[in-house]
Order: sequence, then C-alpha cells, then structure tokens
Amino acid sequence: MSAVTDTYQGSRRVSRGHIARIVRVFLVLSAVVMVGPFLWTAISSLKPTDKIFDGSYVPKGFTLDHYRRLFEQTNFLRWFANSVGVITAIIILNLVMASLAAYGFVRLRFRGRDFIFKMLLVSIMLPQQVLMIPLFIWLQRLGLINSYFGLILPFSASAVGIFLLKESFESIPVELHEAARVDGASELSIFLKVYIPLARPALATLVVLTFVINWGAFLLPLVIAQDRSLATLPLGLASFSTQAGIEWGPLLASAFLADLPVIIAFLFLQRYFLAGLTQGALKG
Amino acid sequence: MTLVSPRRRIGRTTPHPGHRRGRGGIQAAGFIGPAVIIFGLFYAYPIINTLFISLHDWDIFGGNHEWVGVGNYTRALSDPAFWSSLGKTFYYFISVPIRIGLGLLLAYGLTTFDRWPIAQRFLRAVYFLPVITSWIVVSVIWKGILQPSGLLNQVIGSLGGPRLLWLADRSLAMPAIILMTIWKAVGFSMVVYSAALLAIDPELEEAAAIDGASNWQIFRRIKIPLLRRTTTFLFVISTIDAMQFFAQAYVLTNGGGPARATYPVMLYVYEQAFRRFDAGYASAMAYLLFLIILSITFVFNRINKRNEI
Repeated sequence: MSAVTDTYQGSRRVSRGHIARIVRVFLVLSAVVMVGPFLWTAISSLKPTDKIFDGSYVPKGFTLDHYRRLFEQTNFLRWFANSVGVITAIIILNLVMASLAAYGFVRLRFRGRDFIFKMLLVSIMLPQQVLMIPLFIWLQRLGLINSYFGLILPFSASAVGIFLLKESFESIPVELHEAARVDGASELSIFLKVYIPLARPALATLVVLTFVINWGAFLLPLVIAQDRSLATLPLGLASFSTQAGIEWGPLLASAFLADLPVIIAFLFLQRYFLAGLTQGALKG
Repeated sequence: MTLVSPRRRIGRTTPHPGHRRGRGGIQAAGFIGPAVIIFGLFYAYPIINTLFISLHDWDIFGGNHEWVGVGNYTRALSDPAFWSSLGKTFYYFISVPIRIGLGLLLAYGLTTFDRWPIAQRFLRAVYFLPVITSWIVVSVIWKGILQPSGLLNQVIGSLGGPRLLWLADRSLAMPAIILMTIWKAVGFSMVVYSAALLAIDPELEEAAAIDGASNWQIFRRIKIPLLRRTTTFLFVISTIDAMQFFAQAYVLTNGGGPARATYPVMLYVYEQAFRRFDAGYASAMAYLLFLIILSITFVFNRINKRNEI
C-alpha cells in the first residue's frame, strides 16, 4: 500500500515542484507590488523637491524639509489632532454601547428582542449614500453640523460591533451567570465583573475594527465638517491633494504620516486586525 | 429564580434561568437603550426621511419644499448625466471579479507555504497592508505613482514600455483607478479565502490525491465548489463596496476627470445635493442606487441558494 502511494507521489513530485516554484515567485512578486507604493511614498517624501520624480529608487539627497513645511505651512497637526480626538471618542462610545447592547441581547429577555436585533443587522446593509443627505439635514436641525459632536455621535454605535460582542458573550457559559445571580449580584455587576473581563479579545477586536473604519472615514465627515477647522485627516488630505499646484513633497509626507498609526497598530495587533475585518465582514 | 413565566417556553433562543420578571424591561432598556437610540436617530430616521425628501423638490439649506411625487425619479431616469455617471460606476465593477480571483490565487498560494509559517504570516501581513490603509491615503499615494514620471511609468519604462499619461488620458483614467482598487482590495479577498480554505477538511484532498487527482483537479473539482459560499459572499460585499466609488475619483482624478471620464454616480449625487442644493433629486438617485444594491444582493443570494445541495 505504501509502495503504491510512494510511486504516485514520486511521479507527481516533478510537476508539483515546478508549479510550487511558479506559485512562490508569484507570491513574492505580489508582495513587492503591495509594498512598493508604500516604500516609494516614504522614500519620495525624503527626497528634495526637484528629485522626487527623478526615477531613482535610492534617494541621492536626503531632507526632512517636506515634513517641516508640512507642520509649519499646512494645518496637518490640526487635522491629526482632530482625527485623534474624534476617533478616541468614537472608540470609547462604541465599546460602551456595543458591550451593553450585546449583553442585553444575550442575557436579558424582553419583548421584541429578536426583532430589534434583526433591525440592527439590516443597518449593516445600508449604504452611506442613502444616509448622506437626510443625515446632513437632520444634523443641521440638531445644530450638529460643524461640531465635534456631529463627527462623533452618528458613528458611536455599530451593528457589526454589537454582533461581534454578542458572539463572544454567547460563548461564556450560562452557568457563570447563574452562579453570580445566586450570589445576589445584579445584572450590571455581572456584566462588569464577569462578562467584560472574559470578552477582552473581542473588545480588542472591536477597538481595532472601529479604528480602521473611522480613521479613514471620508464621505459622511465631508458632509458634516464643512468648516475647515474641524477637518479630520482624510478631509485635510483630500483638500490638500486636489488644490492647484500640488506640492508633492509635503503631500506624500502627509500621506505617509496619516497612515503611520495604522501601520504601527497593525504591526502590534495583527491578529485582531485579521479577526476583526474578516469576522466583521463575514457576520455582516 | 423560582418564578417561571409561561412565556419563557416560547421563542427562547438563549437559555436564561436567572431572570427576574418585571424588572426585565427596565433593565433591558438600560442595556440596549443607548445603542437603539443612536440607531434610531442616525440610521432609521434618516433612511425613512430620505424617501420622504425624494418625493419633494427640496432645498438642502432652505426650508423650501414642495411635493412632486415621483417627479425626481422620472427626472433621474431621463437624465443623461445620471446614466453616464452610473455607467462609470458599473465600469468600476470590473475590479470586482479581478480582486476576488487574485485573492483566491494568493490565498491558495499561501497554503503551499505551510512549512514556513513565518514567511506565510509575513506575506499575509504585507498583502493586508493596503486593506487597512484608507481610501484617501491610497488615492494620494497612487496619485503620485500615476504621475507621468511616477513609479508605475518608471517600472514600465525599465521594462521597455511607453510612458503613459494615466490620469490625463480619457481611456486610461478608469483602468488606472481599477488597478489601484485591485491593489487595495485584493488582500481582503485573500484573508477571507484563507479562512475558508482552512475550514476545508484535509482528508478530502488526501483522498483525492490517493485516487491520483492532480493539484489542479483538486483545486478545480474540490476546492472551488466548496468555496462557493465564500465566493458569493465576496461578490456581494465587493459589489456594495464598488457601488460606493467616490473618494477615489474625488482625490485621484480631482473630481471625476479628465472630461468626466471617471465621474461616478455617487459624486453626481453629492454634487446635486451640496453644490446645487437639490436634496430632493439627490435623495431620489440615492434610493435608486439602494434599489440596485438590493437587487444585486438578491440575485447573488439566489445563485447561492440554487447551488446548494
């Protein structure tokens, strides 16, 4: 028996080896294509202005001039601070609202629970373009256009986040909940002392997911923050990159700096990124 | 604890013995209330309101509105600018099968790296980097790359190719945006396929290999059919994503240029609402797009159901 399989594998090994080699070349080439643009941006942002498009892969001159001009002559630091502030608030609110709601859906019973949950799920399907105009009119009426609250509140809860935590809470044995109840603990203290600590990986995934989605948010913030002083990074970069007479040095420097927090977070929290974006999408 | 209400037996999805009746409603409101309020205020209400607005002649900044019935919808259907911008968005859909196909190829290729887990993890991370980078940053980077003396022409030139004016040539601007999209999105399909490939029972493959099936046969006859649900899912998600085609044209081609060659329907909706202040008309078009997304999802789900055994 083993002799038979051996010969089978032996005859296939030749072609398998060939194909495997081609596949590997393809994979490595793809990796170069994926990294190339990032490297090009980083390197170009360090080249003197007249050398940016000189076609060299290795910079002949090196300068931090573009970064200095970015900080001194544009509102980059303002955009960055706006983005950091807005995203911090969005993440905290998402954590609170999603974990509370998920607990409610998993461990409490009330009329209409399944219906409300289904309605929340439907909202994942809704494209932003349907939301854009009425959201603007509505926020205008509420006085939230051109305010930080307007940039934060509409994004402070997400159905994907609730779903993510619901899954996690469901995997926690009901017996823990029962035992705590017998000891006389209230729902709130069970939630805080039992469920939250046990759901830490899911909470981390939610943080990462919320961060990636909102750090790059463009269409709705574009409508909500008409006032330049409220511009977040994507808004600032968009206006910077579409003005007449682009200054490539500072522009590429700004793109690189805007992406840096994402890259750094990704390096350290890779598994949460992969879990968050695939799970978030799969469940949605 | 001992109080068991008769209702608890019906429609119970999660076993929950420790529930005290009476306080349930108030408690539940405390837990799910905040999220429900946010959804009601910023999702449910606006969605319904869009329908209402779309039936009016509605000035986005003023209080002017006048009932026009389906007037805005018939106007869209006979508006050449609406159709041509919709055409650009559909053109953009070309990116969908390519990003899914290449994603499958990368995911499958990565399985051959099983013996070098570090290399495998490294490559996966590299492919995923553009996925987490925002559309605006990607567009700014590619705006540089696609300049006449940018990275892409540099590479093409070193291979002996011509110098192309990617963003100034009417016939090259859309392919350039599609190329950028594939670059950004392929890693997402790759990760989803990787997860799905891991879920396939390895014994199936071993059995087929013992029966003398080639790698290609195993891939074509076993893996592809087993990945069908994943593929449908990716088609739905990627098509919805492609429908939102907006930021790319806003930044990369300065608002849909050259000569509206890359002008997507979302940009048309945006400009009608915020440049011409015609919220009624823009809302009607937004709803038409929503209907298109719904029907695409419906069709893909039907295909999925039919293929299930």
